[in-house]
Amino acid sequence: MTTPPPLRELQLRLRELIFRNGDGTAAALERLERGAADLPIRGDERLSPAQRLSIYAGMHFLRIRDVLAEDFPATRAAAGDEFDRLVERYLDAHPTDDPSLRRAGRHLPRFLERSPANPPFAWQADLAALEWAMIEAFDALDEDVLTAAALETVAPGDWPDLAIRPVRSLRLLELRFPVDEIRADLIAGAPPSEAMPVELSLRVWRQGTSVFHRRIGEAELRALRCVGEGIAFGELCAALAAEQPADDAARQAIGLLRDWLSDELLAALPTA
Amino acid sequence: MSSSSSLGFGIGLRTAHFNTLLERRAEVDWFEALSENFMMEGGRPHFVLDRIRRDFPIVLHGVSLSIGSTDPLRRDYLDRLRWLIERFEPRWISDHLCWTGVDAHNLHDLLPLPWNEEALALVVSRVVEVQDVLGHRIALENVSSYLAFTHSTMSEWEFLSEVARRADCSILLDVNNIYVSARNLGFDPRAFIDGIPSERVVQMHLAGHSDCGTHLLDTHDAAVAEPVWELFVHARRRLGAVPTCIEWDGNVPPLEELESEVATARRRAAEAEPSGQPRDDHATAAA
Repeated sequence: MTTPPPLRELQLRLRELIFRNGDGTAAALERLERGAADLPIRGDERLSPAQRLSIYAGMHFLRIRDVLAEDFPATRAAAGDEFDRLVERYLDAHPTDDPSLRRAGRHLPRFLERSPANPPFAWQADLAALEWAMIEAFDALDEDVLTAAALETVAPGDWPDLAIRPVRSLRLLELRFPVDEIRADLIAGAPPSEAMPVELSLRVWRQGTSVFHRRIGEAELRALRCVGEGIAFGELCAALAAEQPADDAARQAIGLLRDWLSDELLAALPTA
Repeated sequence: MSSSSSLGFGIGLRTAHFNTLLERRAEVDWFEALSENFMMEGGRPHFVLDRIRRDFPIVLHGVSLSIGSTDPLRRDYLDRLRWLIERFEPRWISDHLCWTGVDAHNLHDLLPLPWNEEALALVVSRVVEVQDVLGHRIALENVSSYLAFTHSTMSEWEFLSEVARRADCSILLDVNNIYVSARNLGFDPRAFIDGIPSERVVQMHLAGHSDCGTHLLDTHDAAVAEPVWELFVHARRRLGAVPTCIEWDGNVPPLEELESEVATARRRAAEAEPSGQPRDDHATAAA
């Protein structure tokens, strides 16, 4: 018998065998048998060393696949029977490195951009981006939100310098396909189909403990980006006025503010 | 963090029960929350855990410490864990005696170590470091195993006991894992329990498993099996009224079924008492 490897080498070799051979096929078991031949693993009449390794290999794949299926339910529905293959390719490109499985899917939208699933629907990267934004919004920091009552305490002269910022759960998406509708259809059980491209902006945010998404126009997208940079209310009005008369811009700013307060989209003002 | 005395019988906090738990008080004594499930900045999980904490003691149980890995300890993970401890004030914290990844690749599986001096020295030094960073004692849990190494020089319970002694940490004894490993690897499960220093055990786990014919799989997707209950009674006789948690992770049933398992645990624990009456007054090592 060969000398057992040091612990570091043993772990590196086991990692490779478990990571690469989780699909349960005869070919995977054959690779495990070759790889385990000189490893110090005890076998018996019930299970060989390779069969014992294959238990770990199978569980590793299934655990991560199930987490991704839960975090990306519509992406999973669209992929159907090809979802396992998609997960294999994704994990090959992005081995899990975070202690939390909750973060396992964070590269999936970009991965789908470069490496489409089969069948290769053009909207799948946008869909994954929406589903990941919903996860991020769900997990974002809790904070107090700005209320109309709090704004009533702001003196008129202080409004131009009033610094407002969005809640940390807000995510802004610029998409090429109507994936909000596609996602709803897939979750409802509709089969996936091609969709016409359409330029679309969505805001995704958490209100209480629920996550919402809503289509927004170009003006609101621009305004939310400005607010995200921490500009003052006066600067927001000036930005909106750049493309329309000042009175219209003021009305638009007030309208947006009303919507944002209603949707609890703004963080509470810092206390003095 | 405080002593684990008199906690009684708890369950693992799972997302599937969040709504029910917000509607009514559960018929359990405490909850165990999975650390990694609360390592986000906020949101509904934090909201629910805050509500739970108002009425019940909680403990934190991790799966990604990877105490047996030859990689450096992840300081970002420890920082997040320390933040969680300060935020939620658990009675104690625990993780597993295993490795979950190497070379910065986390396999998210509880992988076994060879039970030898090389691994022992590594684990002891890392437990000491973790406890220094966190400022708290941790408890290590025995995992379910499907393979053993030919170059092990001691039993798993000898290894675990020695880690606890040298690093001054606590032990979380998973009775189902003992049974699963004993069946898979061919050792006497009672010898495991009898070989553990009772004063180090702060908690026990119970869960269901699946019989795959050639081996048992630690699936946490079924009720506790009768042989595991019998082993639990044996553990109670030897270790006393150690706080006990029922884990259920796959095909999670309604909360009522978990409460029924807790009621069964209370009844089976009473079998271990000479009087046949339940007892909840076991004082264990303070974390």
